Amino acid sequence: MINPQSLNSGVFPNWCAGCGDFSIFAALKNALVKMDMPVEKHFFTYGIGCHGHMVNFMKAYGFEGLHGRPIPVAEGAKLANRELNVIVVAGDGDTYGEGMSHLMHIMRRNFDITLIVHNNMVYGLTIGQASPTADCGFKSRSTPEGLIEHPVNPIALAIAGGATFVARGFAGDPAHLSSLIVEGVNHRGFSIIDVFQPCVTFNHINTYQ
Amino acid sequence: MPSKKTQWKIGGEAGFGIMTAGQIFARACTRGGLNVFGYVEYPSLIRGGHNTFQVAISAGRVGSPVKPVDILVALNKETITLHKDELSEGAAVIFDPGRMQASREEFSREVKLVPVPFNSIAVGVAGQELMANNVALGASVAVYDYDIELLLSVIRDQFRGKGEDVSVKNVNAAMAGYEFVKKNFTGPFKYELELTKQEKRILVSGNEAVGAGAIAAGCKFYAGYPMTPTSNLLHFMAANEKKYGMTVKQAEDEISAINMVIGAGFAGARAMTATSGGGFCLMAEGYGLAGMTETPLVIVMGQRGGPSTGLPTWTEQADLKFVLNASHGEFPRIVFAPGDMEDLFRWTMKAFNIAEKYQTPVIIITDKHLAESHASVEKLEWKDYRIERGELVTEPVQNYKRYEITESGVSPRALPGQPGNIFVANSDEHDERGISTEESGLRKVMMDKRMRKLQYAAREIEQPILIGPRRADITLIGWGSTKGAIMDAMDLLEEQGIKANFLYLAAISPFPAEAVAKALRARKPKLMVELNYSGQMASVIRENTGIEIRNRLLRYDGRPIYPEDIFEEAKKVLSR
Ligand SMILES: Cc1ncc(C[n+]2csc(CCOP(=O)(O)OP(=O)(O)O)c2C)c(N)n1
Ligand code: SF4
Repeated sequence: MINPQSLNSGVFPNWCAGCGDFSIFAALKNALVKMDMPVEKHFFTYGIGCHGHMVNFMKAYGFEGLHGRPIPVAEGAKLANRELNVIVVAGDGDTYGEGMSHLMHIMRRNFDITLIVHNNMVYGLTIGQASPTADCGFKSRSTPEGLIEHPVNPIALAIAGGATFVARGFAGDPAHLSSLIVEGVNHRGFSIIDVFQPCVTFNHINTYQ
Repeated sequence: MPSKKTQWKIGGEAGFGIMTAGQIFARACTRGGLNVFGYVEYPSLIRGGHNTFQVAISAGRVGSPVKPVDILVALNKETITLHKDELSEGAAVIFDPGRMQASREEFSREVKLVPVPFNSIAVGVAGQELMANNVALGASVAVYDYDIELLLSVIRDQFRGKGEDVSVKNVNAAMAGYEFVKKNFTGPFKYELELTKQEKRILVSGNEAVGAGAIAAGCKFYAGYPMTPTSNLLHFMAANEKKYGMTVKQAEDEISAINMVIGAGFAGARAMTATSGGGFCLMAEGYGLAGMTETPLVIVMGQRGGPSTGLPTWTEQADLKFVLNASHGEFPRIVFAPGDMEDLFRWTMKAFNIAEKYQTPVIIITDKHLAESHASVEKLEWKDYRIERGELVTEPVQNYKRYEITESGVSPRALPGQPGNIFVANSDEHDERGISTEESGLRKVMMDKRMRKLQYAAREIEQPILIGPRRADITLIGWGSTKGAIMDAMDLLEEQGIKANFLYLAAISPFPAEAVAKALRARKPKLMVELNYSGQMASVIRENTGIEIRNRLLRYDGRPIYPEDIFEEAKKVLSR
């Protein structure tokens, strides 16, 4: 069994105090502990965004690639070494914006990979612009008059796209989230877990409440 | 002494099976120990455009198509209209009088008309017009007075998978075409093909040479998105996937392809992707990611006419500077541009070793002229090749640092899945453990470490060579696909008593500045030969050596440079 402490790299997470990423990180570590797999069998790919900083905090094999592209890196690694348990840690900007096409195609391919989307409905790292899941009317620096587009609905999209495991988690309920992650990994085939993740700094609409 | 060459050409509408017919004919020649270069022209259309396949044939060296055509097989009238001026004095024109009229007066030179009713012969012996091309091939062999058995054996092999009946019908059609010509046309043709005592050759395309090199080098993962002129490499890899235990994936786009290859390379598989300029634009960010994370992989960049969609099915060498500078930031860029089939094979194998030893992406530049042409080679030899994976960690290491600072810049590489060596890779600047950093001192140290790899790699990359006599009247300079035409031009010059040598640049980055400067030191005329508008290699040479090459033979209309063009230009330079 993995000792939860051993999953900390020693670098202290530098997310904003209260950021949902903390509890997703905690839920993920708990899930790894529950999974009873040697730690070296896990391989993470990370997107670029606040969530992607997890590459520095999680002590497990990891690859932080390009914004929008953690899915194809994961696919290549999985195809090259099928022994690896491959988990993608991505943002909503990564997944439903820059890298949307990769999502559609991994769903058709149904590779045995688990995708965890930190869905905070904003671009955190680039200081708060609207993301593809931001609500219509959402005001940000890039949409001062309010967003006129309608949000991507990740769950409907995943079901329509043929994903074989679709789940919604909430950073405010890490215990539930960690069991979702375990289920997602145990599912043989592609799993997407879209996690509502409060961004306390840039999103005052979609909060812990 | 260079031996005489002849050239056979077949033309017709796209969808007429020109490519297959051309390859069959080229193969029949190679089976008799002849050397060939098969060059194909086709528009970016599936049906309706005009296609040609021409085979330059010689008992001696042949590295490119030549200008004169000695036998023209016209499957439609357009072929005669478009190509009659290419015919040599006394050339033969083989055509079906049932499909078109042709008379001697149409031609500016004396030609021999060989009307052969392809269609009705095919229907007579095989019951269908589908086999008409084989009738034409048989007729060609008869005009050349070549060994019909060689053609028949190639046809048998070609249709083996389609059942005995199909194979027999095709063979009969070719035989009937051969006999028709033998019976109805007398007198020797100006050029006869003779069997040589040379060893049998194999016929390979550039794409196949690269693919075979990759397989020989132990490539286990290939991802790509179709794009001329490297789509056939994707097909070749896919066709060989099972046999060689590879994983071959058609990705949703080039961005995905390169990122998949990065994932596979990172996980420890030898991995490759291929594309053309447009696709490589999409790969540029991933190329830098591989450089930053020190992930080995091989990228094949098959140039075609640009910019944008450009001339999709035609050749060009206008992406040199793009490739040399692709992606933002600085990282070791290693680029090879081999010039013929053997070299493509060899440099591809080498690329995999260099990529793994220096943990960095390696690019092989080809172009349509190399990738889709077919040439005879004696064999593709990999007996002496050793897979060198560089510094791979196999045991757990105390306090393992994936990006450890070392003298050579190469840090021992662990692979995900190994117990004990857990690390992360990071597209952000990072420390020795892969953890993000923006600290100024560390940034410099890490940059220096990555860039140092280039110096060490340079030491084991072959230096460019001067082909031909050391002392020559003129030095021709080229890179990539112009090699064949340049060497053929040297033969032409030699026939006129002009000594030429050839500075052949296959390793382009790191640029072999010293060797190039040395080769160009002699105060003799020089001629740069390349397929682009601005003389990109001439500019790279100047940037790296200060040597300005003023004489330039440039072509950028999508067609290859012919040996005759180089010959003429060299004479012009010498007469200045
Ligand atoms: C190709 C490219 N475009 C833009 C960026 C800048 N960028 C960095 S992170 C980011 C958005 C992050 O949003 P998200 O994926 O939702 O992650 P979060 O920061 O919210 O966790 C952007 C646009 C980039 N790094 N690369
Ligand atoms: S900006 Fe938002 S998403 Fe980023 S760390 Fe702060 S709270 Fe988290």
